Amino acid sequence: MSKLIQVIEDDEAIRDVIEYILQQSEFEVNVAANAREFKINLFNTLPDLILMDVKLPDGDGIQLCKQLKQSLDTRHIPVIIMSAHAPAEASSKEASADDFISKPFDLNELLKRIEAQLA
Amino acid sequence: MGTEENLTENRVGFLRGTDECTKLIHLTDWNETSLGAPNNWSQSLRTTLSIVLSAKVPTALFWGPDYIQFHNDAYLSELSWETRHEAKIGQPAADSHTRNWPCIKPLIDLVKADGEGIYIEDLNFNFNYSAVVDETDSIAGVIITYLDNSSKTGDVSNAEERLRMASDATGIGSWDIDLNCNSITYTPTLMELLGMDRDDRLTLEEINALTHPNDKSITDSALMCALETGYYHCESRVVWLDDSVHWMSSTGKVIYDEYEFPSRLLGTTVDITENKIEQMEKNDFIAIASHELKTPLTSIKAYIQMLKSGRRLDDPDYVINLATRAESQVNRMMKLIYSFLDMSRIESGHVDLQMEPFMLDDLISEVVKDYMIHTSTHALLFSPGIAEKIEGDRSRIGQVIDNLVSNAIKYSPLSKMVEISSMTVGEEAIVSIKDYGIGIDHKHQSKVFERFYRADDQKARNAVGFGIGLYLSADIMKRHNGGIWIESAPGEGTTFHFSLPLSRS
Repeated sequence: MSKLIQVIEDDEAIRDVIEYILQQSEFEVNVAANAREFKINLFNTLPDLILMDVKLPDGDGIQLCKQLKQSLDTRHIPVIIMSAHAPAEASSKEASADDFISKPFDLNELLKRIEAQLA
Repeated sequence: MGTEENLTENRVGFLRGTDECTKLIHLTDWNETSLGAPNNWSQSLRTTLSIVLSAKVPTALFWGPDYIQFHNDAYLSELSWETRHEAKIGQPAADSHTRNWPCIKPLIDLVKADGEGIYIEDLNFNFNYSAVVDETDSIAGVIITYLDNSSKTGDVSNAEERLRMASDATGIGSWDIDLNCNSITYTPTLMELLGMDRDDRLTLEEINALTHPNDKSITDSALMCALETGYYHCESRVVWLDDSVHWMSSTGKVIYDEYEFPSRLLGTTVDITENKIEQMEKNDFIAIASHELKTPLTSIKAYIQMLKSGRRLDDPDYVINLATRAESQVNRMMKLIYSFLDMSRIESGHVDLQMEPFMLDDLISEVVKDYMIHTSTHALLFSPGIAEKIEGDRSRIGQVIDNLVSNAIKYSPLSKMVEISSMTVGEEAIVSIKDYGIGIDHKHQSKVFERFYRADDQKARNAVGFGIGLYLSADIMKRHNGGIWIESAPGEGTTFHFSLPLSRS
């Protein structure tokens, strides 16, 4: 069974490219453009990994991560946070994120980090 | 005391001179002091005063257990402000000669103790302390004579005066710290820089207390560095009494005594608050700009890596698709960069408009069509309503429409539609762009047109990342004698309106 990755990213171009790459690597992908869509997806199926952007039109990726890590249902799901804002790395550590990747990122590096979290 | 009739007829005698200090003595209410009325002064005091008041060299007298001060006209006119400070005839020195009193008093007491005079050579003056014995055979007072030790007396004090006036006029505060006494003399400008009145008096300790608590370590290490290297430089904040914070830049030099020990620190201070704020805004801007550019760069890098991987290169549609997307991101970056440039052009006042008459509805249609090609998330509905031409810079007005449509799409992620309409009202063309997004709180509405505006509250924080689009749009409207305004409420979407004069005359 292939693993399900949930991607939350507000920029359409980035969202599409990540979805494509992940599907090429035989992952199942759910995408969300904002926190609300993400919560709906989460309600339907729990993913095996969450790839989350920090800036969202209706929320903050760091805060969302904190909530996920505090909830019994979701705290076991690895969360990788992405951001173009370097200081976000420290905040994501504080939010108990499992990894942080800065934009623009190397596609191979992104895949490596995802594989590492799913191993 | 002092009957006026004798003053003009007979100028010889006690307190009969026409000098300013004699006048001051007449005007002082001596009953308030420990000396009492001049009628009752001892002969020794009268004799001593006659010497002091008639001398043409700056002279001061400290009399009695209270060290009551007297001085002469030369003292007032020839000593620089820093040296004479606010000495007041008739007052105990401790009350009004506060600045240098901690240095002077010990010397006076020495003279009183053994009756021997003291001679000191200092930077600008040499000081001669001599003892005055009174009728009780004890030393009742000490005279201090100030002897100018520069070669060209007149020129130096004039030069000093001119330099102080120049510094004063240009907002430079000068100061002179005596490192042994821990006392400071300074120009009135320094007081202004510290948020005080020009003739306020502060001790060195009081001045240091104004340093911002977070910058105390900076000023401390700057002083230590100065004592080692001989040069002082420090940029730090001071907090005025009204709690406002100001950035100061101070530069100074250590003066050494004959034993090569640091004895004084001389320097100047200027206010650099405006520059500092500008510097911080520029750094802010660079951080914001880099962040904004990294988003399109992320997908461009991904497209390039995908091509590099060699996969599906035999599929022309695939390759063309990637290339088209990459190009679109590049265009997006160019738009951003142009908006940064526009912003700096506005700041430096170099914006030129290329005015021409054109149909606004045509321009709006073009922008809308362009967005329809690249946006899958929203439908754009345009209802045109302007039959006449307007006069304006077509490309810049296009930029405004682009910015407002882009914002409408970006800040209504949960809705599917943006409505654009245009109409004429009186002499103006009005365009409205409505979204069904998160809305803008009333208190933010007037501020979104500011340069680096970011809305503060949680929901909006990550959405309203970069305000310069609206700042530029507002500026462009202003230059066209048009207007731009908002209708919005949280949760009820936002409508941006802008107006432009019709090209009628």
